[in-house]
Amino acid sequence: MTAPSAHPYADDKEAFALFRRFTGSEFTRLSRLLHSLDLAAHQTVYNQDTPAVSFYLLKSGALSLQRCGEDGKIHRLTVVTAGRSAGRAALWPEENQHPETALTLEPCILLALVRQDFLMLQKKEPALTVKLLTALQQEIYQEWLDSRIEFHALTARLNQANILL
Amino acid sequence: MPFEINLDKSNRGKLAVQLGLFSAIAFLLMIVDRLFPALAPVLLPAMLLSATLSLLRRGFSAARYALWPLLLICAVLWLLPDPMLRPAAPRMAVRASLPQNADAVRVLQTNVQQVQQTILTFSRRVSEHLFVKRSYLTWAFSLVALAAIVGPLLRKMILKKIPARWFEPGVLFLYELPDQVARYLTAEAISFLMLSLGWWLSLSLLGFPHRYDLALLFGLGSLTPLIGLPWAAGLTSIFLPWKQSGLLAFIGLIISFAVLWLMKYLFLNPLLRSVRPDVRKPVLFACFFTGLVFAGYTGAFFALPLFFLCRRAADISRHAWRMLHPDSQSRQPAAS
Repeated sequence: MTAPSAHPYADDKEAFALFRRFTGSEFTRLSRLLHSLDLAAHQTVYNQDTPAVSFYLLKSGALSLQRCGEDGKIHRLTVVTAGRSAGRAALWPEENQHPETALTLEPCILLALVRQDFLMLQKKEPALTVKLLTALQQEIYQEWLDSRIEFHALTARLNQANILL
Repeated sequence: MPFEINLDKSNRGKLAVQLGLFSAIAFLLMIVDRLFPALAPVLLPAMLLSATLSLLRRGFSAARYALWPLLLICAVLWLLPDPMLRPAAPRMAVRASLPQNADAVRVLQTNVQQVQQTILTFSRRVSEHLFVKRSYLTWAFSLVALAAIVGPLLRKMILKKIPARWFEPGVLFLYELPDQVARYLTAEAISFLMLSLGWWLSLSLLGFPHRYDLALLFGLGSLTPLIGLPWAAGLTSIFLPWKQSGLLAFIGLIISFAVLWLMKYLFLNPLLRSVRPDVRKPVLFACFFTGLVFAGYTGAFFALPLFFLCRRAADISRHAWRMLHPDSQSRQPAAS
């Protein structure tokens, strides 16, 4: 059996908030399924409305998630920074499509977890999958909380501006 | 409308791609079958076995141990002495040599005999290809064992070697397409086995001759939605033992067909619907009858499965193309 420190992604455990609560052995088992990708700046990682086949963890660099609306306008949803994840639609139980496009803003290193490997992991190691999904849920909740705080701060500033006007 | 043909601009393109791919692969298969007659009987069981193994490995954590019995079977198959070959089935079709004053009944009898002979020749050829020749099975099992051992490593190596922007299309072809094909083949194999067994039981009870051949034919009919089963049941009715309580057997045949149809409708159709792509009825009929005209029973029974597989491949290729060639306008956001 390979020692945890000998694994190519073993040192990445602390880089991702998602894996903070994973033990070394758990992370090693999961990281065996990960594929490392080096992408240059301004490259597409995945496109909107294409099948969601992989979930991505951003090791370094920044990603822009953007969505083309019905009016044809492109809206930037968020910028994903190192340590965060993208392409979460791939982890839904049924076949799905990416609801947004992911573009690299600078050279990026991504770790990809293929959907089929995740489904296999779900059967083989349900406890590990639950742990991963719980960590992802926490990340999503934190993102939602941050966006609400930002929204309320913006609303408060707009109210102040209205009062001043 | 049940036969509404919606061929707007986008549908025409998709349909043309699918039919083009279907024709090309069918033509290629015909040539390959002539040049290497052993390829089809090796690849068919190999595909079925690898599909089942792949789903087993994904579905059960203990299924990784399935490789050991598989390797054992391979070793046994390689070491076993060659069995005595069965006497070959008569391949010559009965030819009508009618006197000038032949009556209508005689003509009808001869025609029925001709059809019976063709059906039996076809089904014996299929069963020979699938089950009889040990050397084919040996190669099929060995191929599957090799693919099960080397496949995951090879897949990972290919994804590592290809450029990062081709990662998603690569995943589509190396993970999603095999998974979809495996699910389709396994569901069809389950349906085939259940219906063949049911039909064989019914025919045994009703005292039909050539039960194995007709059960195989009925099972193959289940591969084609809507038309396959009634057509296979119709072919079975040609073998009705009219001389011994034929009418009773005919009624029994209808009841058995109704029971199996209901069983398929209730239990197998939900499974099949989840793995079969939606095909419009005109396309379904066109594939079936084109196959029948150009390649006989083989064409009729295998045209739709081939079309389904081509359609999956075409869909995956279309998605991969869209991944590699995104709309250039979608790259710049309107507001950040």
